Amino acid sequence: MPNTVIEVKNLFKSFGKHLIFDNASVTIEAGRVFGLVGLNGSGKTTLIRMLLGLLRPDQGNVSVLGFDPWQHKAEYFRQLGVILDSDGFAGNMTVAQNLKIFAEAKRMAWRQVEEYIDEFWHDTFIAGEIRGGRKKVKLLSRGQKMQCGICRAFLSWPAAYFLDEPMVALDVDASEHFYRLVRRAQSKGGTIFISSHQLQAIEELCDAVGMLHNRCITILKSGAEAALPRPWFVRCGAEEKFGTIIESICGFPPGYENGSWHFSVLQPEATIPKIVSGLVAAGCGIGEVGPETDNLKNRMRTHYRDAKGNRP
Amino acid sequence: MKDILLILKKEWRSFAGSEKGVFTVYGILVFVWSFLPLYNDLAFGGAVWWLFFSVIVSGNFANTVFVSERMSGSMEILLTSGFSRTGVLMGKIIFVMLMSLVIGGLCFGLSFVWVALTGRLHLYATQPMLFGALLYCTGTFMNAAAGAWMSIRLSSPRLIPFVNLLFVGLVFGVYYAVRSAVPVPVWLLVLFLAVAGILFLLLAQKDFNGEKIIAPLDV
Repeated sequence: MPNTVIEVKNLFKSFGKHLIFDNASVTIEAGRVFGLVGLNGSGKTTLIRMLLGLLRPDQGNVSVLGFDPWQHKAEYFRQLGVILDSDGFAGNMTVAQNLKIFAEAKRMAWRQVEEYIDEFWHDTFIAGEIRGGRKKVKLLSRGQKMQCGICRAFLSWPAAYFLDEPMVALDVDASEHFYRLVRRAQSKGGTIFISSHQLQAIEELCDAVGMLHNRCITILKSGAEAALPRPWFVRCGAEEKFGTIIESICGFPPGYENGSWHFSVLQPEATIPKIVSGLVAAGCGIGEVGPETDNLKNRMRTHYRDAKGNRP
Repeated sequence: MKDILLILKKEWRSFAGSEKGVFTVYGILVFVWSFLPLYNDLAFGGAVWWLFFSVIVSGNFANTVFVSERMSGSMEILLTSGFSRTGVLMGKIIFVMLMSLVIGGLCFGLSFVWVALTGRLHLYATQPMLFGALLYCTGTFMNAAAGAWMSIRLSSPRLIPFVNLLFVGLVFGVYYAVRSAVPVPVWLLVLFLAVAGILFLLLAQKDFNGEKIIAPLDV
């Protein structure tokens, strides 16, 4: 298996006049759990569809496991686990009948499916459905259908996974079970690409996170965190000149919210004292200075603010 | 080949798992249309009615296996689960054809009973009967392939039976235009249908490998 499993290089994609990707690039190595976040309509599902060969890039290269997805090789898809918007099951068939068809598509024997179910799904309703259950999929709840979709995606422990909003409608137990499956897949060398709006889950599960913004992919979490700008705040007045001082020192446009200026800094140890000195010299009464809670949500907010250059 | 068989199996199981009402409707359809030979003597006019029957039946199955799958979004899963795209397309087209042929066959068989009961059995020994069956088979092929293509091309693909009706009309139009200019045998109509079917199959395969296969649909 190549070390780089997913490679997107200089990607351009538009629908009519609407540009979705403008020279976007990202590289994901083998064994990574990569989370993709972004606002509604930013292109998360479009990117997954291009990685799955359902959409064709206008320009640029997309490569997964050494394959060009647009070539539509069945051999490529047999190495993937996929969760998309639809559960993909035939409603008139039982869970077992559906799973059997998908297992055969991956050239798996039914005995292997039973072993997989016994080992990883024995305490769920799916085990009962596999062992002689007659319930048609269309009669299952939304959460149960999602669990069946997850069960199908991890069938055969493929080399790469593309999971679009995999935790929608999952209860607490099912979510924990999903976490365990992701960890197991990772331990088996699988590369997992998750797109979701559930930031906490992305933060807990993923060792690398990218955000779609301005038609590009920005890495928010990469393992080399020191190189990234950190979010800080200064509680003080909202005068425009204070914002200008902060921006001139840290290089990022700050935003004023809830009585504080929020901004990003690359080297806080050197930069923050300069900002404080500059503000005090300008007659600013500072109430508090400190780093923001460093979670994915704040990083996303900081990034959007930096890009927009919000001012009070 | 294995993928085609898998898709056939999937479609059959999905159809077999339908509600009882679905089978009742097909039963009534077969029963009603089986009386056709009593009032059309299976000459050319009667055979053409079988062709329209194939439009209805194959259009309906095309709606079930192509359109419903696209509307629910499960086509995306099917295309990314390890099946070859040709396997998915051919498996579905063959399923539409097989089901249409089974229903057509039941209809022909039942009509044979009615004809026998009314003492018109001699009609079934004639060439028009064979011609009607042949027309039904090629019409089914054309309608199945056109249904596959239209399920991708139409933004409102539930109109497939009506569009298929249009295609059948066009093929007839071409046939009669040729026939009015030069004397041509009646089996040329079968050839026209087969050629149109192959054309639609190629178009469907091209679109099945393109982006339109996941284009949004009017529900």
